[in-house]
Amino acid sequence: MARGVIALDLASKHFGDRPVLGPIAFAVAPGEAVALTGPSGAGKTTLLRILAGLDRDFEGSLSAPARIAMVFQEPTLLPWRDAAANIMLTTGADAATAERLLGEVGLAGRGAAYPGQLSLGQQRRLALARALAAEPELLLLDEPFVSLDPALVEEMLTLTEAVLRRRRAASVLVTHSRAEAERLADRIVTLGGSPARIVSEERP
Amino acid sequence: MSSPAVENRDRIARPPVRSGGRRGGGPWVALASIALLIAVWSVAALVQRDPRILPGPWIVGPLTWHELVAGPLLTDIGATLRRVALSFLIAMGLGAGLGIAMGRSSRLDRWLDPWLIFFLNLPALVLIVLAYLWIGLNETAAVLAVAANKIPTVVVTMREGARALDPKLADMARVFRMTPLARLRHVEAPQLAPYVAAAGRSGIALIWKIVLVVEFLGRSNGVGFRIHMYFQLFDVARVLAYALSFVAVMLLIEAAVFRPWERRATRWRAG
Repeated sequence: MARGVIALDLASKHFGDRPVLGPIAFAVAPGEAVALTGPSGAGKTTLLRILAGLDRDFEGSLSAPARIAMVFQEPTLLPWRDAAANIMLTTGADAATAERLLGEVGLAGRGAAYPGQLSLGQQRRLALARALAAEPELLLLDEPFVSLDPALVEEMLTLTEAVLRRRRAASVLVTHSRAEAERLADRIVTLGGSPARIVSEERP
Repeated sequence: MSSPAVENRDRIARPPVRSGGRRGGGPWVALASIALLIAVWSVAALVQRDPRILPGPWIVGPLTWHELVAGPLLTDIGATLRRVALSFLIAMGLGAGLGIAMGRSSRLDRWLDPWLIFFLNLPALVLIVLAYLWIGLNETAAVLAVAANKIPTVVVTMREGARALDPKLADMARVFRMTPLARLRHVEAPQLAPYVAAAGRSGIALIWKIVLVVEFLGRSNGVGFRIHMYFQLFDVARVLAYALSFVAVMLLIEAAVFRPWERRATRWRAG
């Protein structure tokens, strides 16, 4: 298997007695953007959780970088801390970095706002800024545009595309949208079957 | 006298959904309500016409002032408050630790839940008597008996708080490799704070009543001891003077400490 920022050699993953993931060899090269697609329930999020180190109950081996950041399906912010503190407390970034990143995602001057005072779109931007503040070698995005209206999806896609291009951090995007995958990824990996395996890999 | 023994049950505090001010009327309604209570008491005293059975506020008021400036009222309130504070700290510390552990470990919860139900249903009086019999008629027994009465309800509230911890935020903290201290301070403590505040507020209300019983049964100072003494002398006016003074002190503590604390703990929810 090629050496990459992250390399997973998965033999299997079970939930109880039920196998959900079969043998999967998955690696991401430095700076590479990979999209993970497949039908609902295929195990995309499970695979992403294994990559993130959130699920260690699997058979196989994982070689992961020290600095990983993740944008979750929901913004997953600390509602009792303001926007700037959400970035700083979580990632250890300083105030100036937090302010700069808030500006980069279009939230300049909103550092003192609490998540409850932000719209859903703004909360997603804040979650993205937080992930960037971690200066990750690998950025994981778990369906980050789900439940947004089409205009907002377009806006977030453009923003995500821009920040990823600027940084050249490796990224793995879980999505069921072909259009999102084609727009953000250098390589599209499709999961399928039961238990899930990689059924196709292509470069858009 | 109503026994706090029965009040130990079903007093499981739940945190409020959100902090809120008083509903319409503000402090004026509360003041008018207290004035009404004093008026009812006055009328009852006038109708009863025997100040040995029911002395009116015009007797109890000056007597309270006399006990405060020339009698032992202040010393006794101090002794009772000290027992309340110690029992409260022990109950909150042990109860929160155990409750959080049970909320996080379903195995521990399965093992300890029957104990919890047993202690929740054990009357306060039984624990007090046993503490005095086993440890002796001393301060340690008094404080531990009160704490032991409160621990189960703190456990239940804090267990609920630990169960309600958001697993998504826990995932977020793990991915971003927050230190255990940062997780506790910024992720978990704010989620538990409303439960701690609720357990604390209901705890103090229960504890001071049990402290009075503990003092009544086996201490030689404190408000409960004085009530016992004047009960034997059939001095209803002094029983009321000591009881009402301590109620006033505890209401003051609740208004000055616990309500602001609870408001702060839940402030962010107001958005």
